[in-house]
Amino acid sequence: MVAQRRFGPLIGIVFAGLGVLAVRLFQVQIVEHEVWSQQASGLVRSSRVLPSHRGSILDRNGVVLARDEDTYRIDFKYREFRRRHPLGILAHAYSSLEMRVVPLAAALQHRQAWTEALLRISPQDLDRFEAGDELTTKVLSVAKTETPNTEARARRAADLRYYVGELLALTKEDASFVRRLEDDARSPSYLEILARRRGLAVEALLARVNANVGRACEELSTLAGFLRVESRDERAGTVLAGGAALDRTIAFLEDVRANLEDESADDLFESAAGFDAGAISTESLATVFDLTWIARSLRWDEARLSAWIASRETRNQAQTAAIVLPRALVHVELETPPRRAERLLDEIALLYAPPNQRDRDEDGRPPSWRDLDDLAVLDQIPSLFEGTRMSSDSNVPDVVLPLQDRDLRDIVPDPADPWKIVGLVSDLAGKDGAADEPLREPIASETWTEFGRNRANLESPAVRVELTRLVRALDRRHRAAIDRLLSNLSSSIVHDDGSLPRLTFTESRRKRAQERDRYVQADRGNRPLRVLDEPDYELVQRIARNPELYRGFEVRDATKRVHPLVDADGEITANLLLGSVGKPLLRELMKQAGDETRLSELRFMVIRSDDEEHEMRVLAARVQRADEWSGSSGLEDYLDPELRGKPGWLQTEGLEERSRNDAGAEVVPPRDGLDVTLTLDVELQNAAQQVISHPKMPGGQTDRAFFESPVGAIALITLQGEVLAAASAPNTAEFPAIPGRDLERSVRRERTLQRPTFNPPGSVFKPFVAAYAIQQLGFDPARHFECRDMGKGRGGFETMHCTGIHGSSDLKRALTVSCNSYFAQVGLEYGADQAVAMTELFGFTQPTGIKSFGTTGRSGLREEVFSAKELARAMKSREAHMRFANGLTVLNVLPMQVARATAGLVTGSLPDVRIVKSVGTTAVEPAARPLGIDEKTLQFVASAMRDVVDSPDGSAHGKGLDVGTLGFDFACKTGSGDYLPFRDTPELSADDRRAMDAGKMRKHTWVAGWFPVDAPKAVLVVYLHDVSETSSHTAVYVAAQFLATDAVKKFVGGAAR
Amino acid sequence: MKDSNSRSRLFDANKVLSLKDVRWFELDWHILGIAVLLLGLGLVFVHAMSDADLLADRKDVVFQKHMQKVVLAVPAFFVALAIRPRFLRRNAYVFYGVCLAMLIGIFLVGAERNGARRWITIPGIEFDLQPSELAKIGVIVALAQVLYRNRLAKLRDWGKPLLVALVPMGLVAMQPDLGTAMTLAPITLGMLYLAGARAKVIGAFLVGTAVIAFSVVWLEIGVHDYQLQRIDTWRHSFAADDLIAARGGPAFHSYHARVAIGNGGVFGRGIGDGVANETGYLPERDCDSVFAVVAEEAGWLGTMIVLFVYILFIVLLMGSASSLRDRFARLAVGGVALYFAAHVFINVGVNLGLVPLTGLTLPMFSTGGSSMLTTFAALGLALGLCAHHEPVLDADGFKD
Repeated sequence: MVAQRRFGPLIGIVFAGLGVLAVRLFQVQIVEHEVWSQQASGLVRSSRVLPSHRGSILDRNGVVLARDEDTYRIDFKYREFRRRHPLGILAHAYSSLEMRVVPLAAALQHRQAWTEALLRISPQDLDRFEAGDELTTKVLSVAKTETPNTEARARRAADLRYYVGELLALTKEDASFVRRLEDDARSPSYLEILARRRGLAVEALLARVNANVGRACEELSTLAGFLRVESRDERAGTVLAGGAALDRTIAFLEDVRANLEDESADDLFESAAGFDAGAISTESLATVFDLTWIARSLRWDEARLSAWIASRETRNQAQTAAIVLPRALVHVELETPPRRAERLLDEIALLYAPPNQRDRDEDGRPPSWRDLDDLAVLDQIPSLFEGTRMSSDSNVPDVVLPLQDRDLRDIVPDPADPWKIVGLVSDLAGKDGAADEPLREPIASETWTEFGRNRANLESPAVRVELTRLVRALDRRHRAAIDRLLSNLSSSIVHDDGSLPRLTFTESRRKRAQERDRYVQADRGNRPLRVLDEPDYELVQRIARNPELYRGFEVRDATKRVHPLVDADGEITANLLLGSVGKPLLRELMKQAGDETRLSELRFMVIRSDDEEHEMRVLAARVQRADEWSGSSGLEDYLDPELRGKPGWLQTEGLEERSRNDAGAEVVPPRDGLDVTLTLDVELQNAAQQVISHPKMPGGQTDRAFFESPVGAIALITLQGEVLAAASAPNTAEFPAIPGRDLERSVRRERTLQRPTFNPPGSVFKPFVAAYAIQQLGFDPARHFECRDMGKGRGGFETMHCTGIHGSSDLKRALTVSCNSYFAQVGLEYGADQAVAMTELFGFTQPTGIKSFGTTGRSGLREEVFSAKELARAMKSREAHMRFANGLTVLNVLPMQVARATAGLVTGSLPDVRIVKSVGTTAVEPAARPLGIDEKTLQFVASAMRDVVDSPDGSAHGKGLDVGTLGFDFACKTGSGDYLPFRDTPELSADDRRAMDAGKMRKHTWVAGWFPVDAPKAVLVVYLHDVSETSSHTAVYVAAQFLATDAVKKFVGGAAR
Repeated sequence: MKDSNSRSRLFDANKVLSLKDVRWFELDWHILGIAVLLLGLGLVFVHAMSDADLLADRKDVVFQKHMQKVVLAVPAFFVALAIRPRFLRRNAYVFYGVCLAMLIGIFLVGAERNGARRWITIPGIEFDLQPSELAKIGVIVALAQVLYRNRLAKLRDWGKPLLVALVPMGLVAMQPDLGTAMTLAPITLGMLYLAGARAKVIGAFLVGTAVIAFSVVWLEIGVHDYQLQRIDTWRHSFAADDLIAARGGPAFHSYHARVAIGNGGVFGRGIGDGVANETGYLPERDCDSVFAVVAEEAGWLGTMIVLFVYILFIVLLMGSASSLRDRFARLAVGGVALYFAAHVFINVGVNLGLVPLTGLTLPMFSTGGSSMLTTFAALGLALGLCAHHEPVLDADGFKD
């Protein structure tokens, strides 16, 4: 009984096998359950973002400057339209029948006849159609076929069953009823079966269905009136030219459909081939590949397939130019400058590397271009097709791209000209007639060297154009080699009659693509397309109340940033300071690519430690979504961490159809951002903006051109450093340049914290020079210096000129009349170190403190601070010392720095400038440091500055700044800092030419003071850029205009706020 | 006269098929009951798939079509049950020859799909017959006959049985259908062992085959690109992270199978409520991947019960085989048990990622027509051989 005993070990093996299966099953189902259930949820998960609200920005009195407002937007999902809207159903049902793209417009035109014909098909008709029989309806006939599988009859019949069911709005019970009658010998139509089930006459049911179809189409027409859709590509451009709203909407839908189908075809091709169809030349794609299976999958006819084929190469090139290369350039910009040229070649080489050689390292760097041996597509093609073999005399060269050239690879990068290597690659790429488009003159290598020498912005159009040319030349070489290889393979399977067959993908490749077929189409069609932001409320109501009539169109919650306050010009209050919000830039998204990769890794981990769990949460909170609003400039950007909320999401699991009512939905609530209260006072801000944008021209000697197109700033701060107003001009439209002056009139920018040009303070610097000299240098304010007559009615001292001949003055008079000669001599009392120490004491070489709020590394607020080192370097000569004390030539300041220093002079403490009063409910504490200047000195300087306005020979006297005019007193110092000489051009105005001929310089003019003098509430700094006359003829008038506004009067008269 | 009578009786239908000679009381009703239980469970799952498709506008799985295949396969069960053992043994080579002819015929008249010729369409009933499935029974019967008097004592005794197995394996591999071809290997080795081959020799044979297979794969000799890719995909898809990372490429099928199985957890998602049925993304979910659906919807506990029932079925079949006195019947029934074991282990192993992806059905559950026909026929054959109890007149019958 040998054989009988032998069953024992076999049974043992069977049980051992069961044990192995049980253990593995335990591992997958229990140990790894969480991972796989997450994956499963992802497969059926439908989620949408719940928008969070960005925090509001308020002024110091609670007036809203910026806030989020709830709004809606209309999204469109083509899959939903195709499957549930009668027009989509009809067009796609007939596409399935006829195997061609049936236009929506045709379905709209013939909707009644087509609906009836479709519903009069019987289940048996479809079964026979599936088996290969002909199918005849009132409107068309599909011929019999001997190859139903080849013609995808089963899937087409399944499509039709679904579409008929949707058109009839079959319930599950109806569908079961229909199935039971599928074998009825009388072969009743779907219409008859449903009429019987519902107890209706056939014609009555048909009329009801037709009415529904008609209503949905009419509503589409209504909807079209609301939508302001535009075609996304050229395909529908001609239709849109003059069509009515419905025509435009139909064209839009066709457009979406065409794009989706193109993308689905791309996916199918790539699933089978492993590379993009656009990598193949149009000719090879059309003549060498057998792509009828793609046409069958998408219900296309030959013409549609040809249209897709014809567009791939062009689309590939367009994508490369518009998406791939800009991304590559961003990668290059993230690289350190000396390595950028090499990195650019690395990024280019990555485009041609086989898929298994495209991995970037942890820092996001691709493999070196010097290691590029095999090329994508060329490497992949030999294993793609059935029954092909490479002939021994392959005519594909070993070196297809210059990047593979051994000699070129051996070149060591030249640190003096790192970009030369890119130029050499460009030159080689364009050689041998591979480039039918001539490269730039001078030749490419020189162009790239030139880019490098000039530190050209890598994102500039010139660089992009040159890079696109280079990649196109490489593409042509690559495609030509691919064409030769395909030709070689194709000739290896010549038919008996000598004809060349089309190459067919191997079974496994086609199977893989077909497995993804349904997934690809569902996935593509389910991606929402934003069609309308802030739709009319009526449209929202219509879609929300009657979703069955608007299948495919969905109303989604959204937010928008609103700025409720505008100034007299209709411009948003404090717009240059507030800045704007926007979607994250490509650069920002790419910067967080590492975080995203790590987050993805953590999500896929089977088991996570506590640390990894924590890391995952941190990353999830940090990684920004591509559609998330964030500050892109100004305070919106600077305060983004506080203002930005975190969107929540609504997640439903299960079939889309089951979860329409969000049953069982998981909600992660949105978290709104914090409100930020600024120190600004909107009334003062608007007043300052109005005055600096539209200063009234004073009578007498002044700069007329400036007052017609003013450039400058007004800064108003409290003595504690709170910014009450910060207005800059130009603020609305940019002004044309004044001949002979600079171009700053054409630029809108915030100017209280920025100094785009050389920005000396002029005589507003003198009070600080004086105070420091008295306190730290022991300078005697009673000491007299002479302002000698230098001729032509002007006084001076050595090389320093004065606007008047002031004779002998003490310090107080010198401040009052702003005597340059006097201060030139005070400057000689200063050592270089003392000069630097003085500027540091008053904060002229330090940030104002406005950016001390929050963490470091924030962007949005730009503060351009002059460095003490630069000043120290400049203080090398006697002239420099004389100029320093007069605020000329050797130093640069910001209006906000002058305002802060003035506040320090008034109070004896230098405050940090603050613009944020509180965040949420947390107040931001003020900060200040004592100047170490005694009260007597401060009083002395204050008295002198009072005299600037009150004394008859004061530089601001009689300009409308007196107490009689304003209703409160104002102490200040005027200043004019020489900027540049006039440029002698024929267009120079007569006034400017006169000034030029008189030896005058263009200058910045200033007023810096405080009010009321004895009970100070605020410090005012007026700064005018590039003017032809001194402060006494320009800036003082602007200051007077501002101080005379109702807002200032109200501020002075009211309780301190 | 006696000769002429006996010659005329040679063509007597009763000598070929006889239900009357089946000893019904000795029929292994418990094995049949388990088979019916498995079939019933399979019908429940397929019905749920069909319902899910109805909801989701698909018509991939239609329960009625599956039932039609079951109904078509039932006669095959009874025909196989009625076959008289002696007739089967005497005509084993004829049956084997018919199977080989069909395998060769595929290359002449077979329908090509997805680059492979595996099916012969039977006109009239629109049934696609897959001869490689029937060839498994052909090999079992022929091997039982070859090994009837062959105890593999000498090296030369190995030639004939190996030839019997390798010829159909080669033909099936040429279709190409390496997965089905490889299924014949455990059946053959198991039957050789039952026939008397030493375990050491079988072990050495297995090791040698493994080395050759490894070398073939390593050196990429005579292996199709897609087969190498499947092996490569399998190698890199055992761990969850790797499989998830490769889900968009060739691991698409394995990924969706693993998702479904893993999603089942301990108690399952409930019949018809699995993600495989909801999305329809899992390829061949009614056929080669039906186990993944069962695992997802029945959970670990339910699946273990199903697997245990399968193993019980196989072990009971082996037990019945071991009790047979007729060596031919014993080897044939043992071969059928090995056939079921091979299908179950390979199918479940593929779905769990233990074996490279290959298309093989799960007996009684999967909807494949040819597989169903072969399963029913094999089961009928085994039960029939156990229940006929014809007198063993051959000298060999008294040896064991």
